[in-house]
Amino acid sequence: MLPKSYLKFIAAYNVYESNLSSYAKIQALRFIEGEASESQLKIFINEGKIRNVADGEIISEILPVIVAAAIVAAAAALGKIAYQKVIMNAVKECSQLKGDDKKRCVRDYKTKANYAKLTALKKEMVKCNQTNNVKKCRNMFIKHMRKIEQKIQKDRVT
Amino acid sequence: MDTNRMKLGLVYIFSENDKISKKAKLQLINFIEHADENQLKVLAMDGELVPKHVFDEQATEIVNDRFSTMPHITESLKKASFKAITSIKK
Repeated sequence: MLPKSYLKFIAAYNVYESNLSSYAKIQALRFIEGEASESQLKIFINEGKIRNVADGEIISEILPVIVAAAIVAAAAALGKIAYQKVIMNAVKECSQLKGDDKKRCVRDYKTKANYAKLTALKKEMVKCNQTNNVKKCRNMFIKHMRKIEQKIQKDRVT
Repeated sequence: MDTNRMKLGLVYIFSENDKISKKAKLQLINFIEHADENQLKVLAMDGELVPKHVFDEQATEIVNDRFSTMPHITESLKKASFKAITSIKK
């Protein structure tokens, strides 16, 4: 059984990575941090919705999804670390340049950083084999990776 | 719960609070008078004054969902609005 603090972490990470507007994110995080019960957190991770639920309701049904979400969230956190490492190098390298060269340098490093994130996620996807619902877990990873690929594409265009 | 009743409840709760200065109370009442449903709900839940423009569709949905999971707030507002009405009658 996962502790409530860990559920909060997963839910908060899902909100952080979501496409919600900034104030919607603030509201969702307030719910997670403040009033959400354990069951409500599980529902929120599973459905992305805030609902009234009695404790003990449908917990066993959604547990595999939560385990999958936990793996994805942990992998995403590792991806973030890999991303930050590359960006730190960018700060050193690009700060000496100016104008268009600087812009190009930052864009290239951003792409590299996103690729590092992708690699980290791909490595962690193996852990899905340990879950009860491998397909669901893999889909969550794929969804996450697609978002990063879209970012890479966007950076290439601009 | 309708907006006017929420306004009445909130005004009563703030006006009864001794820790808030008179000027601050006037500011709050002025805000409540012009606030919409979302702003009133956030004020009741978080005690925060938020401008109207921050509420897009997603934020509105989350605010409504949060509010529906807090029946004690609705209850307090109902009680406060009832007290406000009875105090006016006296």
